[in-house]
Amino acid sequence: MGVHALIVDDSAAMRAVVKKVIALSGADVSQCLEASNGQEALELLSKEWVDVILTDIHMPVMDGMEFLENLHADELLSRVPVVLVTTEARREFIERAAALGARAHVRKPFQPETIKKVLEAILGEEFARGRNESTEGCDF
Amino acid sequence: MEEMRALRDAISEVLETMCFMCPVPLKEPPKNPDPEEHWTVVELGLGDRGAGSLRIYFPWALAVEMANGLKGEADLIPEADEIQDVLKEVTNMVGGSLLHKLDPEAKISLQLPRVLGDMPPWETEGALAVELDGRVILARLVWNQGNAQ
Repeated sequence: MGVHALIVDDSAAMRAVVKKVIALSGADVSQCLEASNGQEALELLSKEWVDVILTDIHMPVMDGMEFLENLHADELLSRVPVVLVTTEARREFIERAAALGARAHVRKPFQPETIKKVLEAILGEEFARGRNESTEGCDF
Repeated sequence: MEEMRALRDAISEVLETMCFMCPVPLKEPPKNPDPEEHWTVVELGLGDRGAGSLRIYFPWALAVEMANGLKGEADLIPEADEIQDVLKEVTNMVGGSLLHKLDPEAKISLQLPRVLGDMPPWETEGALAVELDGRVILARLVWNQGNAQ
């Protein structure tokens, strides 16, 4: 299965890690997009559609919360599932992110299996490749 | 001391989970770190009101291994900016894990990590030391508990 994912993180190394985790889940990551902040991500989303967005919160230029607000305000983009992959754990932020449409929160550092389970839960059985595991470990 | 125990556990959690490395905590930091070692320092602010700061001193040779470990590569020689990116992200995750342990109510923010440059740890007293492959990572935590409330 090809996953049209957008990975948003100011760390190129972390984007590579997330991409590798998606690939290890058995998905084709050749169409994964990457952005180093929310503004870059919005520019990409004006040209390309994605199935899921995995975003950090703490980023320069446009942080993850402002990015989420922009997604939430857009009728089409608000339909794209968003997963937070971040060190941010403050309850007010996580609750605000959930109110803005974030579907899951993965705290860094993470086990690869956690992201895999979250994507399975969001993208369904096609992504799971026949596996039917619980989403234990997801915060939402 | 609760903070130092939490810092030790945070460093272990990040290096084991993300870099596939197993650091061994030292009882006390070396008094005179190897003067020939090339060190890079990353700082992370904790809290908007100066709740604290975290500085981690990474030996460059170990940083190369950490970069390869994080990215799942072997025996590559990453560019210097790639290594600094990894060190900032590792410090960020150590800070996040540390706050998770020290601040269960999750009220304290993390600042963006920044590379302070290449400098040896002049003063090691009070720092936390962990050993990896014969090299030592030093971490210095300033934690103003009053500002963290």
